[in-house]
Amino acid sequence: MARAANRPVHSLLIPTAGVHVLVPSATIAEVINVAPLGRLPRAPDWCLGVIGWRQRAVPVISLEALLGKGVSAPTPRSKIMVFFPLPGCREGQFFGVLSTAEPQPHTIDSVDGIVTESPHPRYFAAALRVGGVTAGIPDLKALKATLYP
Amino acid sequence: MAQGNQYLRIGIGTSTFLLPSAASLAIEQRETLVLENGAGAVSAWRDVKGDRWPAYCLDEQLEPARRQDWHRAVFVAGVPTPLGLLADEVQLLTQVELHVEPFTPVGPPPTPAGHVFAEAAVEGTQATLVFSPTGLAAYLQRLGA
Repeated sequence: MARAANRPVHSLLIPTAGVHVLVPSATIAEVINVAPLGRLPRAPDWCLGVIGWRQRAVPVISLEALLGKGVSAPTPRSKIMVFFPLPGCREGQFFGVLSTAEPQPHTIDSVDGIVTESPHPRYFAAALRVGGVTAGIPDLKALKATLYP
Repeated sequence: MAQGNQYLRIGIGTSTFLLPSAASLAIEQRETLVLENGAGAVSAWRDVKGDRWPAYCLDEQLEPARRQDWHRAVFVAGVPTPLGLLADEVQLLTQVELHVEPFTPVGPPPTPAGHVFAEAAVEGTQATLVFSPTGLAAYLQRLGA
């Protein structure tokens, strides 16, 4: 366990409205500009719509809405992080997360900044002080259970 | 005879959806339907040899609506009778014109039969959702009479 904790992890710090999210870079397939989103009828409020990407339809979600903070409209600086399918998902189940700006790369090489209390325990397994902010580390299993129950 | 690789483009308000044409049992014009003016969920009926197939009017979010600007009804298999979706326009497309991929909507399925959509046709950054015939039928069924 100690060896795993000391291995550098290339990560992306994703700013969203009201919460920062830290994910391993390997979980992100692409960062894309925001294009007009198509409607996804009967979807939960936290699903903003659907976009075509690499000849696939990709649902785009709002993490802040998922956390109950309301939905923020995209701004000119917003990006969509296209995530690879979560563990346990079917091939092709990519999904997008709306950010308020370009994600920032960080290399995490220690767990010294771990904050014991997660800001949103339901969806964040832990939190880390990075880049001057406290960022939540998503609980991918919980996210999968919500997105693809 | 409808081919399996053809799709119906269904216009509802400002939204467009697709349905595998093989799933369509009948497409009827408004004039051939019996309009329902009651307070229930059904907006029109198709009389078929003593049987009545209900047809539902939905908005772009697939919520029941009382719109007047529909012109056709597309019927899919249902229990105990086929079920209809009222549409502003219906057009037949071949798969040659489309790139269709499997698609799973996020969140819990709205019906026990699953999600209302099962595929999507993608062109550039635009995705047009394709109805799952069983999901659509189950959804319409839940609207009741």
